[in-house]
Amino acid sequence: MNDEHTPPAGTRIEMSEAFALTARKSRLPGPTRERPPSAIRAGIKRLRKNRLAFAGSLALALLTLLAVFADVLASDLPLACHVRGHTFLLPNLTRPNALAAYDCQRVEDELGEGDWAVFPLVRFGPTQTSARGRIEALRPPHLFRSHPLGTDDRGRDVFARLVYGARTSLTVGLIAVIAFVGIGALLGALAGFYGGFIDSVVSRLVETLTAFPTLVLVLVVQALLPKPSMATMLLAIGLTRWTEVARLVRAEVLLVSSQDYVMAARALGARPWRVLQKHVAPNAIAPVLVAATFGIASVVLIEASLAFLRVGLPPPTPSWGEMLSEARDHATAWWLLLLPGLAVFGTVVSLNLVGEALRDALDPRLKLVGEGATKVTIPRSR
Amino acid sequence: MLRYALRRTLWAIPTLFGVSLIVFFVTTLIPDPAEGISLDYGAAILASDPSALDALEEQRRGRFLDLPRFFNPEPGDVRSRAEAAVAHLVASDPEAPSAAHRLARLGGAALPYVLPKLDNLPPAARGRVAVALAPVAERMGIGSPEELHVPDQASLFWERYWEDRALDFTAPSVHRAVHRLVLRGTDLREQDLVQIDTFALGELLPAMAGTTDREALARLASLASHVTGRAVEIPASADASFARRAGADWQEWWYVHRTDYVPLAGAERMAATVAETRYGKWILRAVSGQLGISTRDGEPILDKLRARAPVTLGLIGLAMLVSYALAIPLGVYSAVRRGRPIDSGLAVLLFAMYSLPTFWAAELLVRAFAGSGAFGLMPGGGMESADVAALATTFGLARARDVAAHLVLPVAALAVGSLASLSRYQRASMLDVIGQDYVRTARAKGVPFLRLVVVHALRNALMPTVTLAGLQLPALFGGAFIVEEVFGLPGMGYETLRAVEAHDTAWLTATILVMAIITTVGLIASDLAYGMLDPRVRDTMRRRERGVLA
Repeated sequence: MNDEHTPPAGTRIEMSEAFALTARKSRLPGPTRERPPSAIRAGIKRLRKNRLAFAGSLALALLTLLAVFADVLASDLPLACHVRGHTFLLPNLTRPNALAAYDCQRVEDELGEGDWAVFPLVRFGPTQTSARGRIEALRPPHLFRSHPLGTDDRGRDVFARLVYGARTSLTVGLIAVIAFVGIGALLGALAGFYGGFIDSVVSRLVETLTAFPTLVLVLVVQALLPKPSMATMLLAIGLTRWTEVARLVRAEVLLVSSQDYVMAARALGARPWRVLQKHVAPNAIAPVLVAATFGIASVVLIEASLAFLRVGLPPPTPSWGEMLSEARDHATAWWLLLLPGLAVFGTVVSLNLVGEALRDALDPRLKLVGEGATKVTIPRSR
Repeated sequence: MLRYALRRTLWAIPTLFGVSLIVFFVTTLIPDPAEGISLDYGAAILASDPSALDALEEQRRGRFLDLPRFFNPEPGDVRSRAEAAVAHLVASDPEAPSAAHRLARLGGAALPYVLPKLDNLPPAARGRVAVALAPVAERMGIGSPEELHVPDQASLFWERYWEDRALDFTAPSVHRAVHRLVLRGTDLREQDLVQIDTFALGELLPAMAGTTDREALARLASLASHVTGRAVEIPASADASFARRAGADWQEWWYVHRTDYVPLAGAERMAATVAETRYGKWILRAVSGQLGISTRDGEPILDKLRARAPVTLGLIGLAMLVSYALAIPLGVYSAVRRGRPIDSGLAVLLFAMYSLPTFWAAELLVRAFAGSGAFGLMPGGGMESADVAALATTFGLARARDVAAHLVLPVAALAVGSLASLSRYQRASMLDVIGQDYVRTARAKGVPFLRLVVVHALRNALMPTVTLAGLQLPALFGGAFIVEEVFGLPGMGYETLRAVEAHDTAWLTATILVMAIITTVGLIASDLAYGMLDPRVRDTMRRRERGVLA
């Protein structure tokens, strides 16, 4: 035992020494000095240990990269080129008029002395049906040919359509989820906070909307609208799927409002907004985040299902579901059936994996009950 | 328990009202056919081809677009319509030609409101109104052209007509006349009704709905089509399905146009401020069980639903049955074998199934097992084989076997998703129960393992899973749509997709309404079952209503 701090008996303690002693003591780890690790940081730590979830997030990251860099991976025009005395940078995005009648093949053919071009990984765009008027329909995949994943019945490159389809899926998923999380959080918070009439109206609305199968409702709305578009689809999904988030946020608000510390905060004069910000939001963020992750998965499924039923986004938009519906007419073209199906399946699996891991990681309360995950989220729509 | 059941059921009323409002909102998304057509352009069309504008108006009225949305302070009836038309004619304003057209269409039903007042009008206006009525007299088969089309003579003609015939234009006399015609149709009796023109419609149409006698129906329909100019006849020789369809068509027309020919009075007038609105007419028709007429093939929506809904509901019911039958044992088994390889293996499998898109699963099943597929075990599409349907008209064993074989793959495709989520749920709730003290106590007392699991644990662990059935409905409806399309089953989903192609708005709105109502009922049933099985739920609801937080 180290007696460094215990003065030998009989000696007077100098004042300075006494101060030093207390100062040193206070450096010891105490409950008041350092903040405990935040729930989110602890969650991330737990998330890292889950290998499956890690694989899921990796797949999602890859998918996001594919979607973001779709134009680099597959395009009907080069990324940059110097043809006929002009230099074009990213003509596949800027679409200069001078190259209106060109595709990658033609640019390559017309490269003269001193001309150069940087081509994308696959030299076909998602809607391009032919190279120089030559239609190569239903080519099977061959990794080292010009169409690495084959072509569909109209000669469009499958790889390009898959990559741009990822963009469509993720865009629809993300925007719709942001929309319905926003609506749900707002209405749920209002219902929980003000109770009474607002609460019963919101609760009735939740129960009413629960009665509609989202897929069918969105399908009918898209079919009835004179000009269905991605915006209307997002709106239709956003306006019907907010119910779960609203229920979660409302429950959280009710739970938190009955806690002593919130009562104390109120007694001290905290405004509702401050209570919402400081006490409700940190508690509600975890279940909402989990619901949002599962939400993206279900929206991706809805979008693909609608496209499969040929009532999805208007035609030129590439979509995995639409590719699958085309596969139905060509029994032998296995790549048309398997590749987009795997893409949807993989995306949904990854999102569900991440969602489950998030739930286990962010919501330790669920861990306490019983043996494992007691709450299993029931997918509401497919 | 009864109180709980009653309360829960009553709570469904606002929900159903909400459902109707949402579907009504969806119907407002359908574009108005008259949108973008200006008044001048309308007048120009009228001048060149009056029937084009009539068709447009018919289309709008069929969707009640001529009415205000939720409140109609002045519901129009034959009286107000006739008076408005007369006012235009008297003023001789630019709308006078179309007013004359409208007045002629109102016909005999308008006469009691027009003719008695003819005397009070200035002579020129009197002449204009009288001439405008000429087509009515022509339909009735009275008067000569010069009598009808020369203003002075025409007003004289109508004044005299009203002196002679006013007594025929009373409700009891029409009722008697129609009744006699239904009892025994003769040309003379029919002639009596032709002479009061559209005034008879208020009795004709209800009589058409009430009679099954084909002879009478044919006479009634030909009368109605004579006075209205709608070419929808029901010849006695036509086949039954045609007669049914044409009858429904007439009733639908009458539902839309009733107030053109019948005056509103007293309580009916009060009710009409709410009922004679877009929402009111739409919801009352749905409540009375008439969901309108398909704009695709003219078949009544209700008949279509009767044919299609059993397929969809049967598919959903079977899928639910199959997924419960498999999910409960699977969930219990993996809970009991928690942490063992078999549990992890099942978890991975179920997780994959639960993320599997229904359309891909269905498509893969078709490719693998259907007739022309890799294994070719099962029949591919449709409800039954063509030859069986042709051979057997009654329910025989062979036919039942054939239908069952056709349903194996669709039910499997539909059950995949709910099977996975249900068994995951069952595992979780089983784990919850197994961890409880009373189970440990039972085990300590030496209860045999199987009895422990089945009797002590499962009984309680089953409750949450079983009551999930209602919540599964929306997802299953969506799945059934896809499965029906892939397997070509003639259910609601299949029909809906054909309706999307043909832009059959009547079917589309009716189908979501019916689906939402079925789901609401399912959710209530589910809640009731929960309350019946678990008294705590009842308490929670009671407490929540008293304002105590659950």
